[in-house]
Amino acid sequence: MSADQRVDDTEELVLSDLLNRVLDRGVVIAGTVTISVADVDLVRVGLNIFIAAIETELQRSTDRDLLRGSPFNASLPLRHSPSGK
Amino acid sequence: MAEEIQYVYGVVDAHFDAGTAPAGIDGTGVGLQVEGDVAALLSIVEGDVYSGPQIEERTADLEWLGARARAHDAVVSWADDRGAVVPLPMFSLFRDRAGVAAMLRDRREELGRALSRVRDRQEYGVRLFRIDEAVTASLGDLSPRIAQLGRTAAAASPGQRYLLTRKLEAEQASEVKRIGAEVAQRAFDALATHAAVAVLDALPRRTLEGMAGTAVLNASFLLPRADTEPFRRELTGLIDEYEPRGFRFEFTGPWPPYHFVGEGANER
Repeated sequence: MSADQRVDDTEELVLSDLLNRVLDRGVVIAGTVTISVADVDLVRVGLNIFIAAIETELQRSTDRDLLRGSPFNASLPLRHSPSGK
Repeated sequence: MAEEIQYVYGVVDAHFDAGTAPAGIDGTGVGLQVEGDVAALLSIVEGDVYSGPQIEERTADLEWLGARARAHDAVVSWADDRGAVVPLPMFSLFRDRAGVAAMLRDRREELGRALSRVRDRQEYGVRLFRIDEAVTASLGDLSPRIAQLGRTAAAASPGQRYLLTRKLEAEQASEVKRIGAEVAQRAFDALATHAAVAVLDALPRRTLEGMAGTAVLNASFLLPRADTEPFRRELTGLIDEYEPRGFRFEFTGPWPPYHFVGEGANER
């Protein structure tokens, strides 16, 4: 099967793939909390935390770092062994 | 509490044209708020939908969440088709326009760097799965060690052959895992040579229903928008080599650069 054919399958992407991208990625502005939805690891945003946190973003960033490490902790550097994760 | 709040999808260049935007989250219109040389893509949403005790339940409801995830992704993908975009995570909410302006000002340098990094580039995802039965059947091909053991067993006397066959079986399971990790590393390294940036994600803990195999690789690649051919050729080569030997590839994209806007996502 060719790579081109794979691209055409994009429409059939499962929701979890989408959610993992839109919830867990991007420039994180304020605090987030990791939970599990339907057995898929997701980051759910603490919404009321978000709204309240705009004015106190620095403090919240510290809280977040305590909660889940760097906001991009799942994006390992190049050439990190896949089996190590 | 019918408070209006600002929902920000992502950040684009100040001169971005938001005139043809699709419907946003909750069917809202999508607008642009310019601050210096960057701008936020945003909608005004009802505050009470996104606050209060019911939000706990709503965000655990995959249908509720999924509809909003698709709307969020539709806006970010639309922007990605028209220029550089730095996606914000879903549900990045601000009390008012002043809050959005402050964020754009405070993060001006970080956002500028992220916009440069993703300009004229798009994200693709590759997952690799190991199908144990099929890999085991191909071990003679994949593993010189198992092939050698097989040859020795075949040439041995009947008594020795029994013992050697036992040994062969015992080693197969661990060899399947080792080969899986080796093929994953090889595929990642080969594909990464064609990408501006490549990142590894955590492996999905379970396989989705109807999908065979154990995940051994979950990676994202940032490719030049104008030329994805070398990457596709490499991937097609890997598929041709490894799918007949018990591996399955999933290739998705193009995506907006969701994985490549954080400060951790450095250039190769």
